[in-house]
Amino acid sequence: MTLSVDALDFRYLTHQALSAVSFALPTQSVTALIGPNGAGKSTLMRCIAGLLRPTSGAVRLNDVEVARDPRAAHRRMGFLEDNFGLYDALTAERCLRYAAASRGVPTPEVAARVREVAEQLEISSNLGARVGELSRGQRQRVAIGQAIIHSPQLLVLDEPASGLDPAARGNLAVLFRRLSASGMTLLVSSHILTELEEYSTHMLALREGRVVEFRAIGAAANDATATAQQRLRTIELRLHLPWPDMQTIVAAWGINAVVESAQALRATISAELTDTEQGELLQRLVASGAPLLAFDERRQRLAETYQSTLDRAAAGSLQ
Amino acid sequence: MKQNAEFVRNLWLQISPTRLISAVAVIALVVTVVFFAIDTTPWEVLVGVASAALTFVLIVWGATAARATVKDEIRSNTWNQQRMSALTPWQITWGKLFGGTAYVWWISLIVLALWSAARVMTHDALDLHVSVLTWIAGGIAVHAVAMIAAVGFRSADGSRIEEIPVGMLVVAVLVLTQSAVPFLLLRDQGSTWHNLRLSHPQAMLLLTTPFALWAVVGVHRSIQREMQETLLPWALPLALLSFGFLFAGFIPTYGIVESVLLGAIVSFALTAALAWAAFFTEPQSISTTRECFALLRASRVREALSRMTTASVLLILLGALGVLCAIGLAASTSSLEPFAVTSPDQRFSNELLKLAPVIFIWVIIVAIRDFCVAHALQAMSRTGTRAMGAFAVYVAVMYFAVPLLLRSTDASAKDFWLPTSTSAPATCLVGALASLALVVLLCRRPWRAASKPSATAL
Repeated sequence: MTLSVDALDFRYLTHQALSAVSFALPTQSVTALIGPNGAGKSTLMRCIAGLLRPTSGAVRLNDVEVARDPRAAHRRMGFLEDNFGLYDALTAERCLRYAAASRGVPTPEVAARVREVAEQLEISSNLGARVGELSRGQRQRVAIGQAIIHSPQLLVLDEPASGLDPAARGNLAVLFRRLSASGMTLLVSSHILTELEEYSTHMLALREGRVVEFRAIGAAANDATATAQQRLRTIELRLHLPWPDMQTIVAAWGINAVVESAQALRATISAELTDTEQGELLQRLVASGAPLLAFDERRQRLAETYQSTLDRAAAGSLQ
Repeated sequence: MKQNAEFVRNLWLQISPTRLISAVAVIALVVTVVFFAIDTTPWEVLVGVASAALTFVLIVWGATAARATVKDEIRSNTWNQQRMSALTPWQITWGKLFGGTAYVWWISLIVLALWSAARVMTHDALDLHVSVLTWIAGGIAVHAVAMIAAVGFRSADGSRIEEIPVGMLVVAVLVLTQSAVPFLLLRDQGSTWHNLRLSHPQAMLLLTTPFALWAVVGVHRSIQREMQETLLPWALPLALLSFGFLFAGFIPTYGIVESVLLGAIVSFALTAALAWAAFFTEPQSISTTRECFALLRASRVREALSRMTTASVLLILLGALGVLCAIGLAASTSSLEPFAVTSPDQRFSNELLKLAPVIFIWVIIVAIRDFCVAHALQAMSRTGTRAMGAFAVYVAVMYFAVPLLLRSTDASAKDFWLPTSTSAPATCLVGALASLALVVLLCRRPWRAASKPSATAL
């Protein structure tokens, strides 16, 4: 399933919320939608969900244009709003049964699907309890259960972790990774960047209704389609002896590396590398007698990436 | 038959053995009290008590319950889930309309059975089945209107229902169906509708049923709109035409042509009233109107129609009906003279008949003018509330303050402003056209300032 957004504009009566927003989410990706308050994240999600009709532009789920055929699009997507709703007077099981029946799960399959989702979300023991009596974390799971009960190909989640304790957030990250592994594409907005980087493969940054950056992060950045900037990685080395020749040796291998602090017992190599090239570099370092004690790849934190994106965007708007 | 998940969910919320039994117990208690407390005429008293209970339960409580089916969804943030569901708008409509009021209907049907039994026991069973159907149709009409209002009257961010307009609309429909229209149209205990002699209960059923049917259609279309379905604007014009011809049927006429003409006149009056209500309450966005014009120019009529505001639809209907009425009246003034003869003030009626064709054209022109003004005020005010307030001031000035000031001036100024002169009836048309031209001139700036419809939007 591919979600593509093409030149999307959305205007409220008094202000422009989205301007020329374009991107395409790869299948099975988990995209972190980030941006300051008022950037247009929720509006974008509501346009994708077909709850708002864009002023112009299009949102497509594979071949279905959401604004033209919202019902077909809704069959393929689940949406959890930040202020998600549940029927507090009903039991969790009835909530899920209603969600299944109303989202088009065939009647004979409803009971089995409810059990399956409850097991997946680890809420089987709470099915008989009224939703109003459940904890915030459990309610969140029931709400996610409602959103995925019809096995959507795309799951859109607006601030899914707000109000959850750290343990519940951790569980949520595991759940999202599991959903992604099962073939679902996820778009998740949150202000908690450390939480997003637990499971995100891509980052989509919005600012004042415009996309300021859309890129792969973490392991996804090694994708063949990733740009040089995206493949820039930093390797930290710990040495048990100083190795002053390091810079010269590495340069001789034809690797455009920046070696820092080589005189001390720590060194850093920053270079544009693929996974294979990185493996070869480390092998050559060992083979050349480098006094290595340990090495580690330092991943760029999502917060750092986001901050640098915002800085670039701010610099661009100043120019 | 496939289960309606929305209906079932509402039954889960509404119905429990305890609630069902407690309703029966309370009704049994009331009946027992009536029979033990009143020796002489318990059945007569029971008719009154049951009528009062029906009014309260079916109408008041029923309207509240129907409104709650939407209000609770909005309050508990489940409305958007429903908008994204695979249920059809029709399933949601009847699931809410009858599921959300299931408990009210349970009590009402028991009370209705009691009321019918009491009527039979008091030997007042004439047209009883018709009266029972009228209660049911009335209940459905009020519940449906409460739902339409709850879907339609929401705060700007859609997060809550504006209670006052909802209540006002429900009360207006109640007054209209149960008091005002019957008072105007039904004389004595019986009435004639298109030469068909009807008893009072039959006439009441005839007046109530179309309200119920159109209200249910209205709920269905509101839900369709919420579910982002493309809607062509056929329902409101058709409803107004059907009400026009329904009401006109109660006015005695002398032929089929006059009957059709009367239907068109009543429809015109209803359309005009609703058009000004729409100018007042609906945000009139220049961008939307420009988009419709652009689509029409591109010969994409269907899309243009689907994007039109209610006010635009009503304006077109008003224009069509107005022209039809003006031509029809001009052609058949002589055949309508019997109306003037039978009216209490014959001279006034004769003058009105002479002036009538001009009045229709005048109303069309001032409606177009006020439509433009509503757009300009919306563009200048930015918020809906400010635009509404500004339009209220404009209406007060144009239709109350200025005519009041002109009363003290010479007749020609007044005739220029309002269609009152029978000697020179076209004078008011010149005035209306001049004011329209002025408004169009003033609107050019906000029209140009509004964003042009982009290629992708079209």
